[in-house]
Amino acid sequence: MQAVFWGVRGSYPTPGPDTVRYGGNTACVELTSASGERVIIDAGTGLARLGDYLAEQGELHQPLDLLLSHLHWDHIQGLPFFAPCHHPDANLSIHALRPDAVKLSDIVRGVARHEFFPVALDDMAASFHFHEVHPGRAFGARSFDVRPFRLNHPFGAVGYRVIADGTSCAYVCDTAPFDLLLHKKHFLKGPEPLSAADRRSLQRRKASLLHAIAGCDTVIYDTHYTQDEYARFPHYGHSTPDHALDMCAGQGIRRVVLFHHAPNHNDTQMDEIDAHYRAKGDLLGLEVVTAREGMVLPMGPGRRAPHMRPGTGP
Amino acid sequence: MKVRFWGVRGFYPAAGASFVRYGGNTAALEIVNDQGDRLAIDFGTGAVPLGRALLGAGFGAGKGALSVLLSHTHLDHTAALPFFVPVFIPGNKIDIFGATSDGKLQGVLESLFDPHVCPINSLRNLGATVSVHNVADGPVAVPGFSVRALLVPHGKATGVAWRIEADGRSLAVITAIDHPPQGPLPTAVALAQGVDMLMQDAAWPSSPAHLVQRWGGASLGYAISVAELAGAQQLVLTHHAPNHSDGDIDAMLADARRRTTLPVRAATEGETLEV
Ligand SMILES: [Zn+2]
Ligand SMILES: [Zn+2]
Ligand SMILES: [Zn+2]
Repeated sequence: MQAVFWGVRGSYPTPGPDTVRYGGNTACVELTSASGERVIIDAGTGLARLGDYLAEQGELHQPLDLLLSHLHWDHIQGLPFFAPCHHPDANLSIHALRPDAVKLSDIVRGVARHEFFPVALDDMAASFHFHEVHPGRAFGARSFDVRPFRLNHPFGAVGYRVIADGTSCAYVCDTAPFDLLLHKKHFLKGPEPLSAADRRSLQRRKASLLHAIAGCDTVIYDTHYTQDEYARFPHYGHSTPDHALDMCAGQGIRRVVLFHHAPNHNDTQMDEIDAHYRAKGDLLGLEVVTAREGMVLPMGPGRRAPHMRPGTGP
Repeated sequence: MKVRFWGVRGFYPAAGASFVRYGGNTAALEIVNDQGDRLAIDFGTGAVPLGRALLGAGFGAGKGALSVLLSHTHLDHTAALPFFVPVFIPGNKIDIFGATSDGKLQGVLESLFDPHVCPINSLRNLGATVSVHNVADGPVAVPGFSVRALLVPHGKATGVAWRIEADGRSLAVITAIDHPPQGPLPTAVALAQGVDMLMQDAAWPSSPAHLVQRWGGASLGYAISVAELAGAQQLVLTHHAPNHSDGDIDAMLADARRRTTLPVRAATEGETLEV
């Protein structure tokens, strides 16, 4: 199995000269098995570029499974520009959490509508199938075994452990840490006091996350904030590299990927973050990799080193 | 009157090394008259850095006022709203003008903040005073400028073309328009009559590529026709396609200069032009 990073940015896309090396497109990761099957995790603007690539390869009609962590704009805004959506033979299975009473298909239709995009989901040529994700309930997508687990993020989000070719990759994004506050469905102006039930809920989420990532080859983690930024915005639903390393150390995990970079982090800051946490990872026995757009990450036994897709980067 | 380009891309942002010269942020313009009155046209991702720049101009202290004219509600013209820092600062006043096919701009902008898609949940959770105004064809009252709106077809959405005058200069911004096959929309030509500068979307080098039909928007040919028929003094091509590299835009600009004797330029992120 290998991962290709098509979008690594959080919150909103950040084109421009200062983000050319790490990338400015929002969240989208493609996982491919040795047999050539693929699942895609999240549909940020990186998905549009993946669609262009699939069009170049003549692979628009291949059945595709799209796993969504949640539907915040930075995880969905690439979908209407994904070339397979406009191909009559394409089959897209969309897997996502339904956070409230609204049907999953209606939520996605409500997002991809003509007030926001040139072509609404209802007018797209492809066939869409919607599958509601239930945390703790495993399912199959192509030949991948997928295990979803609940994260700590406003209005709900899920992470996924994806298993193929005898190796595992976990995607933990978007999530806040599991101590200071519990994200529910209302807008938070700042941390709110935790009830005993809230604390139990946080403990359960943390335990199910630790269970899901244990023994993974690679864990891709929401490390949006630096420690200082997190101290100022603990209620926005994102973690730090320190928290990700804390969670992953001692769990039989080989590699942690820093992901969902804050839009204000330019390439120079990302270099500093990368150097700092690679060194910290060494001390903890973890290989730390900072996600870059265009990065290919082979996983499992006999793997090659991480490298860049041909023609990507500055 | 000065125009600054904060975002010149259409459809979705173009991140990467091939797009840095013309810029990858989606549509956002800042217009300032000689007295310092300010308005913005469109709120694509380019409006995020505009918001940060305005913090030093009173908006950081909650003393800012900004009129925002929307060409339409597609995300490449509205996506920055939840990330525009001045909207979180109490005291700032943001007036948003635009149109939708159902006449309910407020409802569409509210759904940009819906909890499924945005952690802010609602326009009501913003600190600033944000007022939303539906416009019809005709004059729109904006402090410091004389502004006219024209509703135009844009796919299943409704587009608004804008004419802005100040300091004895005039500018037309037409970035969300599906011209009829037989030629430029006559009302749009009339709106742009005699302007000093016409900004027209020209995402597609030639008509009628399949993308034009699918995504809407105008081609270079239409942009040149509108400018020539309206007697515009200068044509600025904008709303560049997200797949067009800097080299592609250079080539389109060269093509445009072969096809018309009017001064033509391609909108470039970060540039400021005197109208
Ligand atoms: Zn996110
Ligand atoms: Zn999120
Ligand atoms: Zn547009």
